[in-house]
Amino acid sequence: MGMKFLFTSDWHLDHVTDGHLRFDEVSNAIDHSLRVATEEQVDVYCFAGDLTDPDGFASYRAQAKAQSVATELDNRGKKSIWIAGNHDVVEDGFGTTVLSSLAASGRCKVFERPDYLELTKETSLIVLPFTPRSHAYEPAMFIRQLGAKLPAAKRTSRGILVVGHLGLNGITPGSETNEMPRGREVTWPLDELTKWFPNATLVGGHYHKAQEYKGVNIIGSLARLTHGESSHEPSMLLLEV
Amino acid sequence: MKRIPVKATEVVTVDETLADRAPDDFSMSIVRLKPSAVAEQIDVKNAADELRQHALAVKVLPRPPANRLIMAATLGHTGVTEMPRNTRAFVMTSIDPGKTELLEYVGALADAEGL
Repeated sequence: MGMKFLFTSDWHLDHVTDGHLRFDEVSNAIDHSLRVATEEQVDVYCFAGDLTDPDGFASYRAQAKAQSVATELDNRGKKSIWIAGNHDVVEDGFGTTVLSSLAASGRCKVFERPDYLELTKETSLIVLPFTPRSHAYEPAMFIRQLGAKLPAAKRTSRGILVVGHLGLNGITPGSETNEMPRGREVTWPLDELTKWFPNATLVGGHYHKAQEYKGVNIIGSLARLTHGESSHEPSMLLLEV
Repeated sequence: MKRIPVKATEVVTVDETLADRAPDDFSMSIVRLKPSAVAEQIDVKNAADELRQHALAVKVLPRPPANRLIMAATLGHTGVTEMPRNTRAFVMTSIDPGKTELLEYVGALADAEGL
């Protein structure tokens, strides 16, 4: 039996547009996503990266919001998974991200490193977060090594979901690249994924415009954050795997 | 797979070409018009009342995107905390496509002000 996922990403709860904090509006959008999670009876709520930059005072409120969302989902008996994005890394040499406190709460699953997780007998998750420089990894090598380890029946099943917060070669860059850049360029290992996990469903954060590119379903941000995003239609992604 | 649009109204952006057309001393910013009230679709009238209270003159600019409302307002009310007194500003908020009352109200106000 498949699992139902609801994806949101790129909250950027610390963002300021022309002098105005966007926290309230994005927070409302997040609350909307929680209502959708209940209405649609999703099994897993997934945040695909970029909660907040760690550097400013606004990051504390952003982390508190994430805590409240994870707690509420846990209280409702729903799993939530949280993946670090390029804005979330702290670069303190310890691999810390703004999601680290969330991980310590134990009420959700946080991915600050690449990982593989079997959610059910039929559904498995491969996670490709953005990591700090001190804990950098090579996504292609990770997929290659994981693919070589898993039995063919498992890795070729349609029950594999890959969620990442990485760049895509060739995609039209948006505000995440031009106006809100942070961190180095780390890209999706699409060739290795095609080779080892040919039937996997790919879902990505990082890009603010909801779209599909080279087989990766980009979730998009929950709000228009910059002038360059005025044509975007903020949304969340509902998916059954 | 299904994409579900976000139900939230934002103070989003300003037509950037307006900045180029504005005089040098023209201060540009974004001012909230109770976006949360509009988002919840409960209080469009109050948003309009607030606009009337704070705006000395309002002009509806051309090229509003499909579900957005762009206005240039001359503000002279100390109740607008985001703006210094007598500072002119571009104001923009988005409304749901079905909620045309605010747009119509602003249009009527603009007419009344001779704009």
